[in-house]
Amino acid sequence: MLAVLNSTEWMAVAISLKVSLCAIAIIVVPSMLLATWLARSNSRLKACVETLIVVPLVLPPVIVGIGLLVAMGSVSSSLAFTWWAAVIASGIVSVPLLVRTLRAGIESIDPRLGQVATTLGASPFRVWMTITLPQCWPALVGGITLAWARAIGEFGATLVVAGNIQGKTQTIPLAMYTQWQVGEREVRSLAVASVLIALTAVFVSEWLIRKGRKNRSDASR
Amino acid sequence: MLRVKLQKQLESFALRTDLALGARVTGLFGSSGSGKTTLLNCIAGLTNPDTGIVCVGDVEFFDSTKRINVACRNRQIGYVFQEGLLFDHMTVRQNLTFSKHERSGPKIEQVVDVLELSHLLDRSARNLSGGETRRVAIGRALLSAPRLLLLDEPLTGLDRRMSGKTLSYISSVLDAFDMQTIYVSHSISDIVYLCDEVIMVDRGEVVGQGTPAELLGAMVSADRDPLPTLKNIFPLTIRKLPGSDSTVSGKLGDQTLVIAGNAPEGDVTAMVYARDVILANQKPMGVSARNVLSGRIERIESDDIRCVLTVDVGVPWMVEITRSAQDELQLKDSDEVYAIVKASAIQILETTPRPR
Repeated sequence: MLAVLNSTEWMAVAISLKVSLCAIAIIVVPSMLLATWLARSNSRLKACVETLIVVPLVLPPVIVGIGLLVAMGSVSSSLAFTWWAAVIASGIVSVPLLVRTLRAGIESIDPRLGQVATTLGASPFRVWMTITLPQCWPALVGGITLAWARAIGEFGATLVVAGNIQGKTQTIPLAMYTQWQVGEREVRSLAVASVLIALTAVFVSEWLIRKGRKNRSDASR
Repeated sequence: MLRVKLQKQLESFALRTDLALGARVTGLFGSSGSGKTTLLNCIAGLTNPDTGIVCVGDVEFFDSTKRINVACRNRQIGYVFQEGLLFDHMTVRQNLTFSKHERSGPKIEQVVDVLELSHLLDRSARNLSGGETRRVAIGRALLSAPRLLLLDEPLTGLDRRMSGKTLSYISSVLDAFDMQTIYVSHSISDIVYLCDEVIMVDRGEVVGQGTPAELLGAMVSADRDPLPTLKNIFPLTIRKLPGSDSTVSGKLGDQTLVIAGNAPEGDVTAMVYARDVILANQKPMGVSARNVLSGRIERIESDDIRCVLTVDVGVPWMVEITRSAQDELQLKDSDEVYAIVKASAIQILETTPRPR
């Protein structure tokens, strides 16, 4: 693949990986907290929060991008059209997938297990680390994979908030779009690179899920 | 001494209690939805009462007037939930040692010994039978150095044999570890076997408090229909009968029981249904039943149709007869009677673990 991709394409791959991995790293902990709250809370605010979380999933990405651009303008004008803007756009559109997958995983755990742990003296943090996290490990890995796939494939919102600046904010989808627009019909290299990256991610996530199960069965032998 | 005076309004009903419990083992008896688990949850701190107090000895866990509410994790109350609820991604050993108070209570070796868990320690918690799961759950609660032990229907979902075996283990635990315990059950027989005192709960209210015999009397007097199946559960020491492969004998106080079957020698827990015992007011001659035990009537509870007597035959046995039979034999308190039981009516539930 090294010889197949030109320098511009390599930069797009590197920016895509950097942006998507940073986006996931930033959203993973808040998403876990949010999913736990949604799965366990009886708060009246739950319906509102659920709706807000789903919004980026159902709105056209361009509208999400415009909304983000307006919001960024009111916070810091220097943020727009940087790779950090791309990170924020990717993170926002990925959160719903991670939260919903994690929430389903946490809801499948008997809440009384946490109560048992509490009667045994465990703090909420210890309950999360020793009971909830091991029990929802496949949902966490699956959710991260889905969210990352969404982040690396993000196009519309990224284009609006980060632009399409070669070597700076141009991700794989934006590079492919540019090549197509300027008449370079040969986008096969980037397409193959995308498929390879996606397959690697799926392989790693399956490996992590199996490893988690194996650790559990080793620990329980 | 456990003091529980509280009110808790839930959607469908209100729980109101005013209890002072000093017995070593208190049974909490009531139908489903009567508020038993809610009461346990309020004691453990999993549910906050609306008002009231909860304290064990001098330690106040909850007092609405003083605004005291000790977090559940700091109460040190051992709580065994229905079905055991083990952490199935851990080993038995990891479950047992989960509590942060594990080092300040009973020694793990002692708990493992009494509950006979040594061969299970490195096994996955998800690969246990129902009875083993309950034993591990009880051990896990014991190792949290509890001030109070709450057992919420720990035999739910177990078959008769496993239920009897687990009951024997619970009895051994209560003998070996001297701690105040609340035992929730639907089974009057289990409560008679294990408990010193009983609380009856109905629709969120405490409707009775007394000895298990008094509870039984209240149920008969209340013309409860159908009366639950009454079982007598008791410890026996089995010996082989010379020259017999089909029967064994068991010592019951200073009397000897003959039991059909080939149970191994040693300590066991046995059971006979109250309705399978026949009473006579003089020693019967020429009967096929192998067991004719002398005893004294300790208590009689009856309504128009049926009569439940507690007869001391070395251990207290409940005997269920008709009211007309009681009238015809003119049975009354302190009468000497004979309890007649077929050898095949006595069931060995399981080898009894010896209290250490």
